[in-house]
Amino acid sequence: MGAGAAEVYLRLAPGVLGYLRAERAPEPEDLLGEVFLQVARDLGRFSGDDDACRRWVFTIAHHRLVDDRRRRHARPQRTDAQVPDVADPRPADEAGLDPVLRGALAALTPDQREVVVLRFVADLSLEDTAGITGRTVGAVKSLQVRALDNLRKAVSLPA
Amino acid sequence: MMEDDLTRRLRALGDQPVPPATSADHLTAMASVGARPERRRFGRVAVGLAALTGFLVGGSGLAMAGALPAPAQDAAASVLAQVGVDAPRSPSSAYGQCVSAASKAHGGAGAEAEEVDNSAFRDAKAACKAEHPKGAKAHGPKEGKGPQANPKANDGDPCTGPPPWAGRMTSAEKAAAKAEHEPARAACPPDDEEG
Repeated sequence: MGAGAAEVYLRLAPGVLGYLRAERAPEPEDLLGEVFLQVARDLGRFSGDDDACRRWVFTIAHHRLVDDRRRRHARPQRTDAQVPDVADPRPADEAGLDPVLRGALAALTPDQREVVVLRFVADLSLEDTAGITGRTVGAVKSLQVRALDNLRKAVSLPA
Repeated sequence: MMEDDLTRRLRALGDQPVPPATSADHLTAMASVGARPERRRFGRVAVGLAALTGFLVGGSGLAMAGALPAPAQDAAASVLAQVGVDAPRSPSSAYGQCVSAASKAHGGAGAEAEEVDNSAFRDAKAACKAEHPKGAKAHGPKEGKGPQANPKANDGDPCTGPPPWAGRMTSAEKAAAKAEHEPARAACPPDDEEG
């Protein structure tokens, strides 16, 4: 790994971790490690400016997240632990990270959550979000408007 | 457009630092991945050298066996001769060299050729032809064809080869040939089906 990969990690890892947490990845820190391992492997083949690098890293993160969900769906883990009636939006290691907003994000549809997280948590443009999610810019705009409306309603309610 | 409180809070989710222990683990793992050279079983240079070596060894072997086509055989023999290896030349080339040597030995060539002892040169040329049959490989009789193809045919032995009444002839001629040769063939041992 050259200094480049470490720099990319220090600059983008917080955003990628925030993205993975907001997308409710079961083990976001492990997934973050996988994302940057791939970044370290492939950085030699990447060329582009900072915006292109951000787009590239979040594309990897998105693919890793989708792969992880498919893997977990194909091989569900069995547990004897008691299943709570309501999903806990605040895992223990993420306590204190705006629990109200995280709960509101958890209540969005997966499509709305994906768009709003890529747009604001990952800080990507409409075009980049459309490219990563495979949607048109118009569809991304529409999902973003609905997601923000739902979030505003949710966070304005008394906790 | 002014950023409202909601979007500011959303962006703040992406600004939370990675826990130091986690960050250290990740950077260590990335260093080990980055330091590991890309695994390639055979490099391009190695493949090229192996191909060149195989070509040279195989070509030299074929040249030593005299199994290359005539132009390639002559070229290979010339090259190998430079390094002191004696490889055979193609038969046509050997014939040409023999004739050339005979021509020089009997008076040269060109305008002076008129003065050459023609009969001696012809003899030398014939000797060359006998010694180096030109195109023997390419134009020799093919196995299984031609008048010499079946050594059993026309050898006078009544027990081998096609019967005398085989082939185009009238039925009367066929009956006469059969009557003439049948007694001699009757004394022959039975055909060996598997031989």
